[in-house]
Amino acid sequence: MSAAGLPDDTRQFLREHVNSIEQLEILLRLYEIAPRSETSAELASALYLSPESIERRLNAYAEKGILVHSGPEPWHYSLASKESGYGQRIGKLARLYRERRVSVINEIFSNPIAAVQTFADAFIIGKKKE
Amino acid sequence: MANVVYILCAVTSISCAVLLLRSYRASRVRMLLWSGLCFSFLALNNILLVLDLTVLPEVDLSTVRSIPAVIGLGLLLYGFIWDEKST
Amino acid sequence: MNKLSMIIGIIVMGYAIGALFFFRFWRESRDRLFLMFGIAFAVLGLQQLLYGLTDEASESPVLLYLIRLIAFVIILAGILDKNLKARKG
Repeated sequence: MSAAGLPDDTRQFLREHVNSIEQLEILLRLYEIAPRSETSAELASALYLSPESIERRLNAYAEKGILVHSGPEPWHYSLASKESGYGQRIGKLARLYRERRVSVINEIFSNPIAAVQTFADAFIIGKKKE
Repeated sequence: MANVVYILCAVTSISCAVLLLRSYRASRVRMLLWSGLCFSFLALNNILLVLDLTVLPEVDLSTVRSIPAVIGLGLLLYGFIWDEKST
Repeated sequence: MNKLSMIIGIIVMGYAIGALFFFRFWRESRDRLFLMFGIAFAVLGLQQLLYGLTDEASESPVLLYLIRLIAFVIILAGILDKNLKARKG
């Protein structure tokens, strides 16, 4: 299908880090406004998404080092760096999303969600369910 | 002292099992079922250890008490290998 | 060769392979919980190995149950660490 045309490093980045359109939009928005930062509430209203689920995504990305957060609560999130490996790959992804939106979307939805992550999530006691 | 340790191990195993099976009930991700069952069987293994040491010292339960561990680990590995990815 | 030895051997391999899976999951997801489980399972496998090598029938010698204790403390620490990180955000 058309997804075969995406470069390998982009496909790997999507497979490892982007499992939903929501995640994609978070990354693209923070890339666009970098080096500025936003709170999860600001992001939620900019993207028309729910603050709780955005919060979880942001924290997951921060843990991976793709984003950084700062300040007292409420946290401000921003892209770690446009020049870093992640930054460049997100930049490339942004360009590909503009030029070949359908391919990117297909690639995202063709990845099975790793059951592994659900194992780790099971041990969070008392988290809010989405 | 050994009993205290094995009871603690059983409690920990049961806690892990509960967390995993609870998540399985919510999400139906199969790997959680297998790993939850694994920890249930490991808990049983620890409980049988306590029984072997205290309640029934004259009977040798060495083989019997090890069987739940084999079953549990078998289920865990099955889950890891077969159900690692779920759609 | 008796049946118990075979069973213990199976258990040792079970824990060892389980540990390897946990380490791989840790490498893929960078989630420290998997590292903790991997270490704990490796320790549990080691405990069964030591048990298999001794003449004791009962697993009551101090070393054997202390090692098992260490493994479960590692699991508890991993779960605690996971939850503290989840709260901090």
